[in-house]
Amino acid sequence: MSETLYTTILVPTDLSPPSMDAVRHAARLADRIGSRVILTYVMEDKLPAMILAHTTDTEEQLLDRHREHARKALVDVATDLLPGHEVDCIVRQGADHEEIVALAREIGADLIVMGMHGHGFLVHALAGSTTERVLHHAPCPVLVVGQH
Amino acid sequence: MLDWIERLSDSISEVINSSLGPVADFLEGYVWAWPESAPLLAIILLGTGLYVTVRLAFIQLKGFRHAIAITRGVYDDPKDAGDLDHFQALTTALSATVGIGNIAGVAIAIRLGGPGALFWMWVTAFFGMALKYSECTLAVKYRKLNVDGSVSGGPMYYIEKGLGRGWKWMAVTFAALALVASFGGGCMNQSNTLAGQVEAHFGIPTIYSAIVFSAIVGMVIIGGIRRIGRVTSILAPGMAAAYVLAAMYILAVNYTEIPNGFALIFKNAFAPEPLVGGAAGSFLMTLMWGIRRGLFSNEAGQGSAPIAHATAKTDEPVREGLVASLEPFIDTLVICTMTGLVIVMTGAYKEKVEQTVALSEVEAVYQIDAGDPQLVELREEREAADERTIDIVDGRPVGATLFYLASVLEDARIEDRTGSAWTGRVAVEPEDGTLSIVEGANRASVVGVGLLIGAPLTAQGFKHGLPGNWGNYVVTIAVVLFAVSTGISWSYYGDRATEYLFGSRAIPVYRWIFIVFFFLGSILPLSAVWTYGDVALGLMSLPNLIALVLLSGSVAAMTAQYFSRKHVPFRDRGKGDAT
Repeated sequence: MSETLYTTILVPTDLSPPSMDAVRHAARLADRIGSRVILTYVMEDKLPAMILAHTTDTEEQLLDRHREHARKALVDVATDLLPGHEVDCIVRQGADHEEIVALAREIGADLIVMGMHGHGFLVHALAGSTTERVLHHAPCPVLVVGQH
Repeated sequence: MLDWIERLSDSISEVINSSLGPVADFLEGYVWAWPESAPLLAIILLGTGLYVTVRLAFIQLKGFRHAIAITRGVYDDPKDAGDLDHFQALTTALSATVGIGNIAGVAIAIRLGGPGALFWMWVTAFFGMALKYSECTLAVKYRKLNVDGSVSGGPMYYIEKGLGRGWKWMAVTFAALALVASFGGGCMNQSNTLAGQVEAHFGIPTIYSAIVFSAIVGMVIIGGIRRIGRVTSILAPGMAAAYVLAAMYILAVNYTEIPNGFALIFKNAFAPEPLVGGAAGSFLMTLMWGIRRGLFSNEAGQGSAPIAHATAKTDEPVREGLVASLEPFIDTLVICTMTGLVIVMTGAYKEKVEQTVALSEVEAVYQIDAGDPQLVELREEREAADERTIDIVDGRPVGATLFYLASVLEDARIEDRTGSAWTGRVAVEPEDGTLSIVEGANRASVVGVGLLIGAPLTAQGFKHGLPGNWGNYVVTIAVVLFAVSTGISWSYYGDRATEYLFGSRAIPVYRWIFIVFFFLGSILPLSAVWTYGDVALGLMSLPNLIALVLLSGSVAAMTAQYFSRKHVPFRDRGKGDAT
């Protein structure tokens, strides 16, 4: 067994208030046990037809711009909430739960910390939450931070 | 096989029409005709437009020139958040707005409300410019910035963020109604007109258009085939320009008629003459049809365009509002006016033409030779009559006269599918006079000489004004392009409403449903589709208009603040920050 319980913590965030609570919690955990934190955001891999029909940029240019924008946003969060830590910021594209699970495998994460999304009951009944889906397929324990 | 498809489409359309039709008719009575003497929705729409116009000190006149400069890209800063620049956001919103409302909608307004309806369309457009300004300014101000720099916006966001959490129910209501409306005006109405016009012009049955054009729209919004969307977005504005030029040519050739055309429109706006075909003219009828078709066409106050404008790349909400205020101007004051003048000046609106109408679309009354029929009395007689059926002998209805949308169908005969005279018996619905077969071969339709409506009426006007068969081609091509591009854009509005209500995972499901409705719209009867569309659009306007009144102070403050500053074109700014 390694010295720390959780060497690598993966923290998916969409910068919503509940997911920021999760980032804060991960930061406290990392402080206490000296884990490495990886922040990730999963963006859509397809742009709406209407936008694509009317822009003169290529889809790649637009997606690149979105990726860069998201990466900067993650770095800002890392600087704010995880000062003094070595944080990797990774932007992925695709279906959020699939990408989170895949990334967790790739980097050998041994804990995922994420928030519970605050959708209404209708959304929940129809689609479930990203957190629930990650929970079902994650290769490691998942710590869900509720809203306090 | 073809026979089987056509029969299937008939049964689908019958089931939907008989289940959806009465509901839509019932709601229509409340949304657009209650109370009867002063329909509430019309008062709210015009009232809000007037209120916002005064509160913003006639922004639609004051900001007009600045709006054009912004649209030309003078102030564009590539570093601002958002996906589309000002010009692209305008063309996007226009692609949704300039649709078959500009071609078929105007024709419906004039046919059912008389030439004066065009005047009331102008009025909605003038006040609509201030409404559009307000809603799109708010849409940018209160849009949600996503982590990746893309944005989501629209009335649901400005209601929730602008009015506060306590109003979330109204934001949800708006999104739900927008979702429902996206299947109507921006979808079924478009495909219905498209298929109807293709059938009228090329004789291609609607079911084929339904299949082909649903597939095309599906390839763009579900398949993500970018090229089709791109081609449509380039062709549609080009077609709009060609359409306006063709209309201007007709006006130029008949320039001596222009004063008469305007005189007719103004005179009938306040004191409508009895409508051709027998229905009594009434001021309210003219007013309502003008406002209904005006709203349908320029969408001002309805809350749809702000969803597109929210994606604009800008950090100045007022600028996007100004750009958006040009829409009712281009859409209604320019394009609809062209259509309207062509219809009025060529006299197409009072011309009787042979046409085919479905049995479920005609209205029968029990009287032979209705020379100068008073439809209202004949309707009362029908409701009171014991008789409930009409015999059809060699195609001729015995002891009855048939109407189509309140105007007589002269020389009406019932034909079977092959065009030969149909014999049998039909039942008459006492309330609305529609027909259904009791005895005889199970497919029949009515052929008669009567007034045209919708895109065929517009095509008739253009046919008179242009040499050869050009008029028909101009209108048919415009209808096809406008319908497809409007469908694509409106599916985006529905996308955003779905995302707001159910999260992004529900979007693919929504898109499939949209395509199903686009398909159904092509094969359903005209009146059912338009009634549904009108009801949905009317309903989604309500929460938006309430929000526009409540947030008008905030818009006024933003406007004053914007105009108190000096605005320097982007290229003239300090060398240091130019890219």
